[in-house]
Amino acid sequence: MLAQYIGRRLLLLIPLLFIVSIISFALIQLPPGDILNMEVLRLRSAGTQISEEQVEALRQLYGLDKSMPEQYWLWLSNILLEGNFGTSFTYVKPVGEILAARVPLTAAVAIFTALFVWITAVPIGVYSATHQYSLIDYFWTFISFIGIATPGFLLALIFLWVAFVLFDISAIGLFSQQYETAPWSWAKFLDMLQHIWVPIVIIGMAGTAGLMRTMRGMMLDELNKQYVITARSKGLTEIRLLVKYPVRTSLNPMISTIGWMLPSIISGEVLVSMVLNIPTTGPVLLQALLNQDMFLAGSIVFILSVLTVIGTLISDILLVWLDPRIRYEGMT
Amino acid sequence: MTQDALLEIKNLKTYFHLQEGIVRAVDGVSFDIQRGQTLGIIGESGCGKSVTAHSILRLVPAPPGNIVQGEILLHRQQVPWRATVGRDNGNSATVGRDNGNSATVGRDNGNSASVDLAQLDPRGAAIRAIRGAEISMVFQEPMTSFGPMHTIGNQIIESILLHQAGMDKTEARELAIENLRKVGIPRPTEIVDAYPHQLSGGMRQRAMIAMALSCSPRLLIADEPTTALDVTIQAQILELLMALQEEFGMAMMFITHNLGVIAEVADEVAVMYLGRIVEQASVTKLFDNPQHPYTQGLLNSIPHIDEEKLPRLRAIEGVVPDPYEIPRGCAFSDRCPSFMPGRCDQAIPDLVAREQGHLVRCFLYSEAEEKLTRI
Repeated sequence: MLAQYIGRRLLLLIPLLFIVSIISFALIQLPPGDILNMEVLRLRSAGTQISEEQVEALRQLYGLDKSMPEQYWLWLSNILLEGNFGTSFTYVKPVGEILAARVPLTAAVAIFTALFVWITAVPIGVYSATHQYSLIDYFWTFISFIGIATPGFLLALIFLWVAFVLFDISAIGLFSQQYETAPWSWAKFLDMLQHIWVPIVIIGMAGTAGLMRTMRGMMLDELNKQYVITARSKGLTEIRLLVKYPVRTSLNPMISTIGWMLPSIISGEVLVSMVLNIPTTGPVLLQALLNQDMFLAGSIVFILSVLTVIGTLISDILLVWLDPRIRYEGMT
Repeated sequence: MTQDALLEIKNLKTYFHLQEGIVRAVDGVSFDIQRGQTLGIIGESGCGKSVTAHSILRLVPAPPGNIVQGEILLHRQQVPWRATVGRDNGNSATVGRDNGNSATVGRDNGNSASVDLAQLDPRGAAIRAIRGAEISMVFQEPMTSFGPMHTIGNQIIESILLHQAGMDKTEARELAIENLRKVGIPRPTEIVDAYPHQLSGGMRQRAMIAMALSCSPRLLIADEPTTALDVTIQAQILELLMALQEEFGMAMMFITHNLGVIAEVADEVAVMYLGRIVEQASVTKLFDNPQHPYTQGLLNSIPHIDEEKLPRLRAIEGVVPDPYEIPRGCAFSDRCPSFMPGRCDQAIPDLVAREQGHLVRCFLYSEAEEKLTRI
């Protein structure tokens, strides 16, 4: 029955991704003008003479003279049939090549951030709820309000400053210098793990702060429920009954927010990555949008949307797997 | 009636220390529960009957709740000399309860067969070994009494494995199925793997009883077990409980606000009002000859089927007072039809024997009075 449910959800992905691709394409076409306007402006300001015929020729070369649906179809079919995301005007490189290095890093940062958020927020939330109004509860409440209220890039700036002034460490980047351009190896991976926690903690701060509060609130609701008292009246130890009953029930909203967590991590990541100079998709997306580099921007938006949709699917499957009430009612 | 107490509660006081003030939820309650017998506790919402039950298993949330005084003695074995005392001098037994005479106090010294639950750490191993094994509890809300994420069987087996050493999972599962069958659940081999939300309220309450009985407790505390159920299911559950009590030979403490239910199941009845027992007697004595004005009011408020025409239900005047503004003197004085000014509002009457085995806390029958400690 679970396999059937997953199968149905996978089939539903097809129309969903189709719609996502249309929206991605439409979004990047929304601003007036196109890449050629920018390019011509740049060339002319540099003093290069460029005739209207040349512009028209370029326009034909990139397929910009065609109608919107045609352009869209060209773009999508190239991606689907040849895995060709088009060419970036600004980098003068295939989009696929640019993203191949950056999307996995973005995914890694996102997944590690999600894990970090979970691993810190759930125990703190449980502790805060079981020790409501204690000193430690107030401490975490204070921390979480700061975490929610402080923008990530500011936190990144403060962190850089503190690391530099107090410890004389440059916390910028994801790799040590000798590995920056080196091909992937085990040593490079280990080097990345040494650096990646800085962006993870900074990006995850807001998420942890929010989830901590959610977990605390959910637990407070559950702790007074009859079934917790029933479990206690059976003679279970406090830890065992907490983990088995209220924590388990409280995890539901945590799991269902996995899907939403990815986009918020990715959008929160843009500015933090700019500040920390991390080679993820964020800074590239911003640059591409500024330059109207439509193939690059469109591809990034599309790929990130696909990742989000998949994240939501994973969280839904997890929910069905974990919660019998959803398993039996939602699936039939 | 045999004098063979399984549980003895002496002058139990459970207070809640809240920001608004101290709520004296249970304020000096004493009673015995005899082996194999049923004690019914009756009273309105907020009279402290549930807190009394929760105090026995030490389930009162602390803070804010706290047992400030009193003893809750669980006698695991029959106390030999006690059987000779008998109920024929019921008066002395009553006096002994209130004064805590030396014989009673001396009994728990060095007697491992008796344990004072009020002295145990509410999170400690000693009380956990008693919960669910020697004393188990059935609650009011069948809809939320089971955790929603695990099967009924899982939760029953958990309890069995916890308390019955030497049982493996398959044996525990067999026992769980056996108990589900005993409480009248059809297709127990299937239901054992059902989730709580798949069962009706009545079925869940049966499963709850099966879980409570899974370790053959000496005492079953039933805290309004039928209140949330409709009347036909209510009757079935009551019959089931009484049949199981006979089969398992356990004692029962039955808490309800329903007089009809108490008349059916209880041997002995205690009426509670605002944290104190106001009247206690055998079920026949209490219903035939209620003494306390509160008990009389409760019984009068039941509509009788044989009355030809009942214009209005005779309700007790007023409402239960706010727990922070309990009247000075007798707590019932502001609603009492027999209120005696200068007497009832000056002191709290003692719980005294009106006749053999019939205790009443009212100045109509007694000169004795407790010292007024409250302002």
